[in-house]
Amino acid sequence: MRRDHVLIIDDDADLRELVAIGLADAHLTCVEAAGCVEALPLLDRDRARLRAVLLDYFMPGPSPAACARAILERVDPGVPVVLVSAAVDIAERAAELGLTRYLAKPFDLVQLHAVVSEVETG
Amino acid sequence: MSLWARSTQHAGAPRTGVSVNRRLSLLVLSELVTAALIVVAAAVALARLEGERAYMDRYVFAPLLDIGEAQVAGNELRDLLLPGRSEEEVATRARPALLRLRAFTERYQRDWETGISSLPEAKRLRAELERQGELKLLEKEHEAVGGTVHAVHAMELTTGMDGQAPAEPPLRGRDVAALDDGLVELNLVNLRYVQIGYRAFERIHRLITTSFIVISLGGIVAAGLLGFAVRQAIAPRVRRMLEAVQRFRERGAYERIEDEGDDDLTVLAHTLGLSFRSIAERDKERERFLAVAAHELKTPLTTLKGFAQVALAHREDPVLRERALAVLDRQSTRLARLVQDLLWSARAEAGQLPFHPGPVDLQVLARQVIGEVRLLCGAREFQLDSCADPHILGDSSLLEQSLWNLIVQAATLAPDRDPVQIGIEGSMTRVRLTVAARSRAEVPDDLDELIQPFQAPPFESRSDGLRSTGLGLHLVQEIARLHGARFEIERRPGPAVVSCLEFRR
Repeated sequence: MRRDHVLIIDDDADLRELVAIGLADAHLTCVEAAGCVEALPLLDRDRARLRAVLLDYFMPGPSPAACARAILERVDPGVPVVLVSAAVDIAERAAELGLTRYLAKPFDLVQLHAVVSEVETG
Repeated sequence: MSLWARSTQHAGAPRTGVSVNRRLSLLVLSELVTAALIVVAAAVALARLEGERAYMDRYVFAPLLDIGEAQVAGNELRDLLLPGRSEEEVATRARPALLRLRAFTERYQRDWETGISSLPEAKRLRAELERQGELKLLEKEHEAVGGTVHAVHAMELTTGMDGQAPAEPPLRGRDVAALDDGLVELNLVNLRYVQIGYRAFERIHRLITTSFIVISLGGIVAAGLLGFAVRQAIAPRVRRMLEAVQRFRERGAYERIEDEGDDDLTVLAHTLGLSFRSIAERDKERERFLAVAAHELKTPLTTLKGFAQVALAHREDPVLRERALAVLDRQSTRLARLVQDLLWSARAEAGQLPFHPGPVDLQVLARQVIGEVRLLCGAREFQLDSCADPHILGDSSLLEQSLWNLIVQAATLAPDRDPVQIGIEGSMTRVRLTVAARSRAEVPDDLDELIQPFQAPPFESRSDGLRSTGLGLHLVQEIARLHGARFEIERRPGPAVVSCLEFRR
């Protein structure tokens, strides 16, 4: 099965819409969740098709650490979980959550494509 | 120890016991004691020297003068032994000299014969003679006095001073020679007394000098030791403070200055520490503000940049292009409001918020703001209810920003499509503006948290795209303060959150 789904977890509806439009240009399907709680069932549902997960840092609900841990438990090995944030120290925050990839805001569509294109799985 | 100093000590921390105040007090006390000792010693020394001078004058030097005069009288008697004078003339001319000699011998025996006199000076000289092993001088003096008295008495008999007829010859050479011998011996003895007295004077002089040296050296040593102790109490602690200042300048991080004393330096160290902590906290707050502000600015920038790219990339797709432009419009409005909030918050923090009061109609202002908010979220219902005179005196720009922030905050907290109610009510003296909405479960228990900068929960998941800037209510509070108005947030059954601004007319 082709991995062509990208899960965006962000409480900013405009940003989710932007990511969806941007990924559609790259012939990828965007799955949207406004928070961590909402995202977990989607992870279970689309696990086999997930290419990447884009995760915001500041969101209502569980703490970023708990959210990242729950996501990492649910994704297949090799599927990157990318921290997307406007935080100044995004690299430190990503390391804090046990994530190796991050995308700093503001980003453009080219950078978005690059993040999801780096991983060519399955 | 002052209560303040005691209260600032850490429990269980070791006391250094290096009180500068105590050591300075000891130093001053030692200086005073030294000065007092020198003054007392000087007074005692002066009195003692004066006593010595008087003793030497009255008891040591005075007899020598009398002995000298007696020797003059003896010389006069010797002159009478020369040939060419009649016996009657010799007897007559010898009598005045003999009278002076008798007076001398009586005075000497009464006042100056050290061996038998009961005067204090005589006792003192006897003690000194004993100290110097010269007691035999007393015997010599007694013999010399005895010889002199005997010679004078013999000449009184031969010159007929006792009423008898003068003898022949009236003045004998052996009597005059015996008188000379007695006076010479007496003179020698008294010269030895002068020598002994002077030695005693020198000893006292040395004692006084030594005392002054000892007192002065003792004072200098005590002052030096105590001064060193004061320095030891000050220098390391001042050095620690300087190092703390240096570290603070280099790193900007607050470190507690260790000083467990109980004196003014401790107060200084703690004051310095409190100042550092205050500056460090302010710096940290500023850094946090800048970090959060940068974060808040970058979020709308991302969507602005992304949707601009979408609009450019999809020129042939009018629906997508229209959607991108709508998001651009909303996000740019949001960004403008955020920038305005940031600028005014910064000016409010510096106490430089511009305030240009004038007549303001709150109802008109509310309608205007509601109209602008509706452009961003057409689906949301806003209900304005005005049942009082809405005119107040205020700054319309600041009040417009306040209303915007209150309405957006209420819409941010409210569930989707729940109405936001704006009310204007009041009396002759007050106008009350309320903004109420049903709240979602995430509202903090302590509503004052909503007023803290960037402390409001980030409710970005609005389907209508509304979002509080995180600074809004903090700015409202500052603007209310500037207008002399009261600002409060209440929780009401519903559950609803009501923000209230109460102005005086």
